[in-house]
Amino acid sequence: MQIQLSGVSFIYEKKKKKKAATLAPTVLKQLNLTIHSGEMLAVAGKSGSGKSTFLQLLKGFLSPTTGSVLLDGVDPNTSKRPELFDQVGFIFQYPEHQLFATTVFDDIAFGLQSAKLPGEIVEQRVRKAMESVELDYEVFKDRSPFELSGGEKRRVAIAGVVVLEPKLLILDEPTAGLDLPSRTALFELLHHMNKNQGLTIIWVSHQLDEIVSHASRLLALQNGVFIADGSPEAALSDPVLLEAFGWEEPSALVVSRLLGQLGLSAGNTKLSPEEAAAIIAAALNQHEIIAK
Amino acid sequence: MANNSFLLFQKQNSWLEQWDPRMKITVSLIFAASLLLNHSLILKTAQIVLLIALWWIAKLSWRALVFTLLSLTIFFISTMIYRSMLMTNPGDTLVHLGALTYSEQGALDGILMCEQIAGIVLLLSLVVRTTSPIILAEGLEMILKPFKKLRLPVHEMVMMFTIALRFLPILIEEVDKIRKAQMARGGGFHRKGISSRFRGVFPMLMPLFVLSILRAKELAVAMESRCYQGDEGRTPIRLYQMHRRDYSILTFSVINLLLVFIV
Amino acid sequence: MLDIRNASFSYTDEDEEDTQHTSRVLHQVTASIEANEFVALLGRNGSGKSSFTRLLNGIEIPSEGTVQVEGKFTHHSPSLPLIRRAVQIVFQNPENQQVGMTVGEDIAFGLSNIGYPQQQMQERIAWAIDLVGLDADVDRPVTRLSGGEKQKLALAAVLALSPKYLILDEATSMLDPLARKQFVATLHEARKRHPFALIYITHHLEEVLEADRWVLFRNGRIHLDGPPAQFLNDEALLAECGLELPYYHALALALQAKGISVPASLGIEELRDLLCRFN
Repeated sequence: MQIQLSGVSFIYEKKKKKKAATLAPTVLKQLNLTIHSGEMLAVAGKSGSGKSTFLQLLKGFLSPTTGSVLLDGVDPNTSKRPELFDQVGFIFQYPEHQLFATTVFDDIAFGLQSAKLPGEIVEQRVRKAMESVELDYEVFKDRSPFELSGGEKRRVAIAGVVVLEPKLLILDEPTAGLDLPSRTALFELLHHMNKNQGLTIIWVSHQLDEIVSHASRLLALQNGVFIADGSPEAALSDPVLLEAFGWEEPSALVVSRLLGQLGLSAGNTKLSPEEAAAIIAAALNQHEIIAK
Repeated sequence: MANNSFLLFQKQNSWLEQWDPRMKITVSLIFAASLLLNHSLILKTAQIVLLIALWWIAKLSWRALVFTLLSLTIFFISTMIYRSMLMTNPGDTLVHLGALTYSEQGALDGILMCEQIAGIVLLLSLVVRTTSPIILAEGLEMILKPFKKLRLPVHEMVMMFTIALRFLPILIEEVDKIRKAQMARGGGFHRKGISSRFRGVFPMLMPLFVLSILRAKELAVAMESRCYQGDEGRTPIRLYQMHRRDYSILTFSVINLLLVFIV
Repeated sequence: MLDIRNASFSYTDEDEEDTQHTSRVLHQVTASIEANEFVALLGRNGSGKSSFTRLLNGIEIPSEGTVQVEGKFTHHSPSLPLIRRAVQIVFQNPENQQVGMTVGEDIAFGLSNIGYPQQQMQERIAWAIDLVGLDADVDRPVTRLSGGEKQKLALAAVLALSPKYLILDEATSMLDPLARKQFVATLHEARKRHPFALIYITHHLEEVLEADRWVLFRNGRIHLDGPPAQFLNDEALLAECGLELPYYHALALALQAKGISVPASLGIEELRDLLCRFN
């Protein structure tokens, strides 16, 4: 799905501004942006930067004060078609906290059953959704979601959104609270859905290595404006951005740049430690051969 | 948007915040008694005006006041209807207004009753909004101390009350989040009719319930880790001392109560 | 000293989370932690490290074996108040560990529990706020603090009790990189001024490279307990336990595997030197 923001501003009404205590009042200023179908877009920003407001606009939880949000060229707000926002899947932080049903099947099927779809279609789609989050249908469908492990619960929660077959999936810090193997597995899953189903994915992340490894594009928000929009490698090598966020440039990029400067690699891509070691070893060996 | 300061104490450094909590509670009780006991329209109205003046002195927002009163609308309307139309006493002068018939005496009773409801609610929210829950709790505990001898779990009850107040805004925010999350995967149930919306109630309540238990457990462990062991060996957070101010407020409220019997 | 001998533990309460916890049992764990030591507890979610810390301050009592804090057994309940005071915990979610409405009230909660003299309480609160460099006055509502500030407040509140042992149970996991860096810096600064033993649970190895010891938990047992160097060259074991080596450590290992001698504490400067020797 293609999403287009033109001249989007958002201002909390004055009365609300005073009350909002923890959800800090955020303002978006004149945002213009196009997100293309099939992107893996990471969104970064501190609390109060407007990133939560930005994401809620895409799902229609909030409407822009001025400007328009277009989903595949149509503005659901002005055309009075809020159901268009159903194409957007929204997964909150710690989505496992929203599980409620007695079986995994019922939990995932909640949306389909509310939409009164016939039983066999519901079953077929739940099965498909569970497959796409790599939960075995027969093993898990009758189990209680509350007795699963943390990583499994989260996948059930994600399946509950994926089952509605969204074209855009928004995730707020999807890996929060997971350990490394579960994180890796989750991203494998997102990449899989992104490639095979052409799902556009937008996720919020604080983890630089996660952004560098998985994003095709990075959007950084500060005080309601985008201060970076582009390839994660370029953005995360930009001292101004790093300074603004108090981030340290990921070591992978520092090493890649060094090797690039020395003419040993292309220099603009992230290298894993093994790749970097191979390049360095090759360079050193070559020198030894020449020296000999 | 979660709206979490409506029931919350926020420090404004107002005069009301300086009152001793014990005195504040005592005075509120006396005031409540005089509100309930008096049947004079003038006196009751004067008391409401006084409460509104205190609201102003406490530097609380007018919006919050309006919200508090508006939230009682349903009580006001039902009280008025009940008192003036349904519960008419024989001998009341009945007034006909088109198809409606109401009793003047009943309407007066209704207004008194409404003022009473409004007064109690304003009084209560004044106390809660101008006193930090912990201070309020310590005040309550000191007042209720005699009941400890009767083996009533005074401290525990007061602690529960404090924690409930502390977590209320967090829970309100959580409700908002859960609501949105279930809407996001609910196949549009929130846009459909009543029965469809009703289906959405359980998916909201269940996570809220589970989360509250989870929070409560974590909080219990955290409190115990921070050496909490009931009221054994606790020192109060502040030194509570009655000042001349507190005694003058007490005198004033006693006079206020006596007025009820004189008028 | 904290002394844990053959401690086993399982959750027995029959609530709805029971099934989740059955895997989080500790089997025959033996370990000791000296005064002022910095120990990192590592392992996957559910490997037993959190349950282990619950034994240390007597929140849970081992079903077999013993836990001793400064010579006092945690199963001897009259010792518990002293044990709890000596062993403090900062938890993952600040919202679920703060009792007070304001910064001052929250710090006062712990002080009040231990019967701290009322006259000196305000002074102590100010001391604790200063110790963690929290930029907020005592009357600031807790809800108006950022995530990083909330966690600093949690730290201030426990340090006000002068613990001898401080457990951080994934205390940085909900913070963004900047706030995490600031929190870690604050912690070590405070530890320099008022030494205490640090027991640190994390999934981020770069936060515990300076630790005296790493203790690796696996399926409720201590799998390995030793200085970090003992772990750093076993990338397979670390990966299996959900831990990722910091980039430069992984690079150093990969280079060593290719027969290039580099120090384990490789940095960008060393790398530049290595490469420029030839260019």
